Amino acid sequence: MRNCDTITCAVTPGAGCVVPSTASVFQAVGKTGFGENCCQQEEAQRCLGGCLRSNTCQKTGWCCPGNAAQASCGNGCAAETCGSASPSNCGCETNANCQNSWANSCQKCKGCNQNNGNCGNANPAASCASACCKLACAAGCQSSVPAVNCAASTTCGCAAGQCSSNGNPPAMVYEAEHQLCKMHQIEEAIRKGTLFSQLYMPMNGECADACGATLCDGQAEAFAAWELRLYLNTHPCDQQALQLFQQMACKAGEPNYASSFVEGCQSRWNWTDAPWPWEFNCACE
Amino acid sequence: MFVYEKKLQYPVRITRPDPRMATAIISQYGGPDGEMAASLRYLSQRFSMNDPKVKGLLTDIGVEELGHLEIVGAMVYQLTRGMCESDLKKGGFDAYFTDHTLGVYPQSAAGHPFTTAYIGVKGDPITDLHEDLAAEGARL
Repeated sequence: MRNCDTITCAVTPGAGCVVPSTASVFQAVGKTGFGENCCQQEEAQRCLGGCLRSNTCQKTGWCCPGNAAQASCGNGCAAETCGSASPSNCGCETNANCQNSWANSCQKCKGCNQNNGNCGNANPAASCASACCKLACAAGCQSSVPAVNCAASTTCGCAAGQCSSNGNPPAMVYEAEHQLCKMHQIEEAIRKGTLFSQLYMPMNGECADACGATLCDGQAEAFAAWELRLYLNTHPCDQQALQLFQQMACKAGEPNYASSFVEGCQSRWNWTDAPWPWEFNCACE
Repeated sequence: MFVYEKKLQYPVRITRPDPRMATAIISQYGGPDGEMAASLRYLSQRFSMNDPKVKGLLTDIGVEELGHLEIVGAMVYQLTRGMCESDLKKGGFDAYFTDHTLGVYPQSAAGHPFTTAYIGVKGDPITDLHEDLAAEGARL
């Protein structure tokens, strides 16, 4: 019998991988903690060494961090990959999302976009990342009940204890972690159709919660594991998500739940790294 | 390759037949924006997608749509289980029954058989992702 609760990311991070284990890392790069931070250096190496990206990043938004990003990506750089570089050149999706409020700052835009989803029009003028969620934390997010209906209440939807001390808005995965603390919260995820409470948008404001169904053993955990899998595809270095995925997959009884991590280092979801089966070239082997 | 797990992603337990509901829900199975179209759309688009992250997403979402397909199929099956003849006619299910009896056939609510003309696979990442947005928007 495996003890799923004891699975941890006992990891020496891979070369070039800085683990965003504290809020200060997020603060340093001015992002909201989606876990991309730890990949920057690694991605840079990939870019320099023959780059999948330099010719494709304008389309995919997957560009190199730092100055390389600006040089090679120009206006094609998506907010997600701006890293610590000056974001002034990064425009596309961020500006569109932020409705011209944040044309000069991708990083703020990224946070703003998130906050806007929660805050409605609470803080359209100043920096969302620094103002909106701080406001919510000051209003009690750190210690008390989450504001359920953010659009109406003008406060952020920070769940209890979810606001980091620096006032950055909580990342989805922290919400997920919060949801996964107790078993009934995992069941809530499958009933609502999403693990991430920020993505729960019931039609016409009606709750789609299917309370009546009886779940089978492991079903809620399997759903949570699948949600985390989708999340890890685009956030391969998010340590909390990695650990939660392992726990959920383990509890759901799924085999090989730890097989998709770098050898000896569970710090990166590497399922998307290897060539895809339709890409193998037998003639080269 | 694929491995089947003998369970639904979400349980379906319908105890009362409702053929009229079945004629609507069948569209989510094999209609223009149904799960069959969704799964084939993503699983086909991923071959020419150029970003590994998006390849992974299309693969995983396409597989999940297959799971949804099974859920919807189970709904149609259970909605038409144990009907009597008068249920068929009252529920407007007699036309479907004529062609498929109680089989779960991929078709739209209007009875059009499933066709891959519902989906787009163009080999260009932006074009395909736009198609995905349109398809997901239709299902919201």
